[in-house]
Amino acid sequence: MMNIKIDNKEHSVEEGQTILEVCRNLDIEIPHFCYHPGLSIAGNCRMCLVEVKGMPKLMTACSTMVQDKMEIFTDSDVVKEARKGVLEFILLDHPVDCPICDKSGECDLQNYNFDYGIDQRRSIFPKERHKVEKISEKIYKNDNRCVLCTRCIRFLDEVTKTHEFTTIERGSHTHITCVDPEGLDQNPFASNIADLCPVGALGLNEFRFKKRVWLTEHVRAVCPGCEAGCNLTVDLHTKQTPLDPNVGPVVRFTSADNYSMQRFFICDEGRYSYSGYNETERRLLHPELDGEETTNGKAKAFLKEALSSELTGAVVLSPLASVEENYAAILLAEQMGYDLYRPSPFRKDLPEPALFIEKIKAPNHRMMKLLEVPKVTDMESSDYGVVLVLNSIGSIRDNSLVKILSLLKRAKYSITFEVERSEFSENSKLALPAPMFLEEDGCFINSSKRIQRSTGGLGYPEGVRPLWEWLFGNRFTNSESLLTQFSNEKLGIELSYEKIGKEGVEL
Amino acid sequence: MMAKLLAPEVFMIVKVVAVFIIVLTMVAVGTWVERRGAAFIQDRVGPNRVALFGKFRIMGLAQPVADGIKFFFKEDVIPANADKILFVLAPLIAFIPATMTFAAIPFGRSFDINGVHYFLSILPPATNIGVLYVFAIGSMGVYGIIVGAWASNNKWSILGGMRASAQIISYELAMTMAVVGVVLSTGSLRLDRVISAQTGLWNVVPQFLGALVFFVSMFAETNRLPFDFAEGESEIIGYHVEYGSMKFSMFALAEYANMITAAALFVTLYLGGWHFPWLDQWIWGSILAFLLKLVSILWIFVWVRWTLPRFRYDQLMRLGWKVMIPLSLVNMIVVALFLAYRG
Amino acid sequence: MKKEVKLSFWDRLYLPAILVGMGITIKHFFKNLFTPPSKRYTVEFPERKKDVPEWYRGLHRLNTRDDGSVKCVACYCCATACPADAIFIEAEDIDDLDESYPREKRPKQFIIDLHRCIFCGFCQEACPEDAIVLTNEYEITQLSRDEGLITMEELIKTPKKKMD
Ligand code: SF4
Ligand code: SF4
Ligand code: SF4
Ligand code: SF4
Ligand code: FES
Repeated sequence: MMNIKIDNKEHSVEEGQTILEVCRNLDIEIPHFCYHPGLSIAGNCRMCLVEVKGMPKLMTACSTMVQDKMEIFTDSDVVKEARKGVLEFILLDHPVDCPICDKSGECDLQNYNFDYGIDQRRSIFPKERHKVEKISEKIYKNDNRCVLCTRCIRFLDEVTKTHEFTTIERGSHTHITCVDPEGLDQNPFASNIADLCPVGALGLNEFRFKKRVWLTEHVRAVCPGCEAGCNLTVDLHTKQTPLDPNVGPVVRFTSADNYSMQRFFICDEGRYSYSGYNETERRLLHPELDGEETTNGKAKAFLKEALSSELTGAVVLSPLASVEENYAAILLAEQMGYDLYRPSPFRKDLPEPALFIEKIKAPNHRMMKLLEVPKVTDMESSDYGVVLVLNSIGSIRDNSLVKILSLLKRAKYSITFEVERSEFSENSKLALPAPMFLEEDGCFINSSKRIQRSTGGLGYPEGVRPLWEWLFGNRFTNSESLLTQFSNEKLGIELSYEKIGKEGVEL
Repeated sequence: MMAKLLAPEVFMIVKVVAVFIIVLTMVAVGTWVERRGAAFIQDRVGPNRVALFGKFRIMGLAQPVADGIKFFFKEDVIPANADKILFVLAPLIAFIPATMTFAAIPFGRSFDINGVHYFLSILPPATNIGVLYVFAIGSMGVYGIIVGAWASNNKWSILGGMRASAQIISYELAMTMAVVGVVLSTGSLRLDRVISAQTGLWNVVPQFLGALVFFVSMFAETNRLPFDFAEGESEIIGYHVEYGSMKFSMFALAEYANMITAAALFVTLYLGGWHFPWLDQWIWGSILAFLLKLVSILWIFVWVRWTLPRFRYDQLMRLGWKVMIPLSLVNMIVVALFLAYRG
Repeated sequence: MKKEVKLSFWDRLYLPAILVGMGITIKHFFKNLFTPPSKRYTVEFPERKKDVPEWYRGLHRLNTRDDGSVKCVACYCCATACPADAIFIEAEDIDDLDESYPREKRPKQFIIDLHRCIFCGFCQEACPEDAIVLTNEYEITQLSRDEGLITMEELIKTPKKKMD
């Protein structure tokens, strides 16, 4: 630890960090373009200049290590002047066509220019113009807006090591070019460069001109695509006007930084899975009894009848559902003496490069493993009177599926709790509608045993209630109380949503 | 032709039809005058758009016709909780007496042709009860209001009906008492006698107090502002809250018919009926004189309505019982004393 | 607060005051009776049009460039500013590189729901391209809800303000 002074305030910080990182942790804003926590330090944009006492010139905060007794000024007149200058330089050849730029609203340049920039351009020379190019199936490039921070190049060089981008030409003609469009198409992480780009120079074709970002609401969620548990920022457009075509509220997934996991990117498969959550065709929104829509009251009566029938029972958990939903089912099993099983999750071969992608395509598989729930395929007899099956969007292995179906078919009272109509609900007496992952708060335990929270920004649709409400009525008031009980009883620690926070807790 | 017309039965029918048509026309035109007059008084324009055959706007005179057609084709709603029979009857009860009263009013000088006496009123003037008839039938009108109000089974309408009937009964007293003065000075209940007694000097002059009381009571009797407690649209909307379409328009017609009758009565009792210097030497002249007076009084009705605000209920009652009735009594006594003094 | 007003006998007679009041009303009556319709306060609308002030906010117009293309770039600023959610825009990609101005985006659909619009003019304030303006056109009535949804083609045809 060492003591430094930032803007005349004493702080004691750890060694081996740059000024920018220190300031980030202290919530002091230093504008920057080329620095990115997941990439190497380039120091080429000069946006992060700060004043360090004793240094003859301004220093780049992103590349200067803090030293003991350093005195840093992030907001002095010299620094302000420098930022103005840097921004004026960058804007020399920037179109500032924010009205048609998809980045506007979340653009660093826009924000910085607003906060630190100049009002009037002084240069009288015409700006250089390039055409917009669709450089791959997923990505377009608008050279006019590029600030040459080289984040995109560094990402492809350092993270995916596929080297599709490079700069060409010199001086004011320098621009980014894609040397390997097919490579970019195949790169399973390529779309991250659109997130990375601090301006609107790189964008996703899929999002182009679709929606303005300020119209959406951002919630933090955990990607349900695989066991890795990457963090997502989900853009939701819940306040649709009456004229909007009904395309659904989930607008896009982007990556959310998780410093504790040192993970800042998501794979393209996860990113583009967002549209699946807008589909309403197969959605189960009302309880169904014997395939017919029924009222909540009748469904409850059936449930009560099943639970008071004193038959043997089995509960099949779901690695696709959240900790809370699964725990509600576990509680039921413990209370009634039912047997607990888990299906085997669906597996998929890894792409090249794989980085952090996991083979197991279920976000909560690690919970099943932690609790040592037996596999449904290892079940000896399959004659149960009452069977409750949890399911969510996603898939499980075929042999598990077959086994569960036979369970359901044989049971007198077969109940499925799921989001979309599947073979399970078709083969059970009672199908209860389940909320999907963006509709309720829920936690997931990823492959590295980190429990993370996913926020339900959409809220429960009408008629859809969580499992704990079906089973226990008013015993739990929210999903957080289930999590607390779960952590107390199964993990031996006390957890709450606040403790889990944005980045999760390692178990 | 003229001779045929003058056959007594035919003449009677012609009179009835003519009076009916003229009164109803006056009602229609009256509503138009009311609205246009109100508009002008308030610096507005008023209804001026309805055009005959979509072309001739004639200052909106066709508005009553349009309104009539509209009323006719409106849905006729009878509220579920209303007393159905009375609900339907009430507008009739209000409307019929209003038109019936007019029968006793002489609207021109009588004349003799070929030795036959022709009189210009529907009831023969020889019926000895002219004034009584008018008041008897006229006070029937309040039944229309109270029955309509009660049959609607609605709080607002019953309030309107109660207020209206209390008001009408109070002012009827003052009115009748004022008329006693006229009857005294004439010495007869016959309306033609009342008129002929006013030759030379109209009753307004000697019986100014009586005329004033009668005039004020007239407004109360016809439920016109400043005494429109039956309706009071800004407070309770009135006894006809539940009425719509033709039934509502019957009430409206009754109101205007009442106005005309009351005005005609005032003209007969205090303004010398069809008397008018020089003009009344011809029959047509006398009718014209009568109509002119009638129209002026009707205009005053309109004029007053758009000048004065509504009284408060207690003010209305105080005015009726504490001012109008004593005044009419004073008028009666003065006339009686004067007659006694003259022998 | 109770205000005590002492009425003289003359006042308490009411009649004089009533006569004065009637004098006032009849004065208005005759004044209006003898004023020709064109000079009355009331402007009789379809025959006589009211001249609205320059700042009057009426029907919207989408301005066009010299070449006839619509100035709007579908930035949604107006739709965002609109407090009544009356504007609906669907954007479209165009392949057009103007040396002086990059055009990539234009509205494919631009619909204003006049029945929702409250004519606040926020859209005009928000527009970075001076594309949408509220004109002085106030004769906007429709016979159905659907007719109130006016499209880009109609918006372009709205006559300009007189002073422009
Ligand atoms: S990159 Fe940023 S500053 Fe540049 S046009 Fe886009 S939003 Fe505006
Ligand atoms: S395209 Fe974006 S990320 Fe790449 S260098 Fe330009 S501004 Fe940076
Ligand atoms: S005038 Fe106001 S309400 Fe109407 S479209 Fe524009 S912003 Fe919306
Ligand atoms: S604000 Fe202007 S440019 Fe943007 S969408 Fe609206 S009309 Fe078009
Ligand atoms: S962020 Fe430090 S130079 Fe770019």
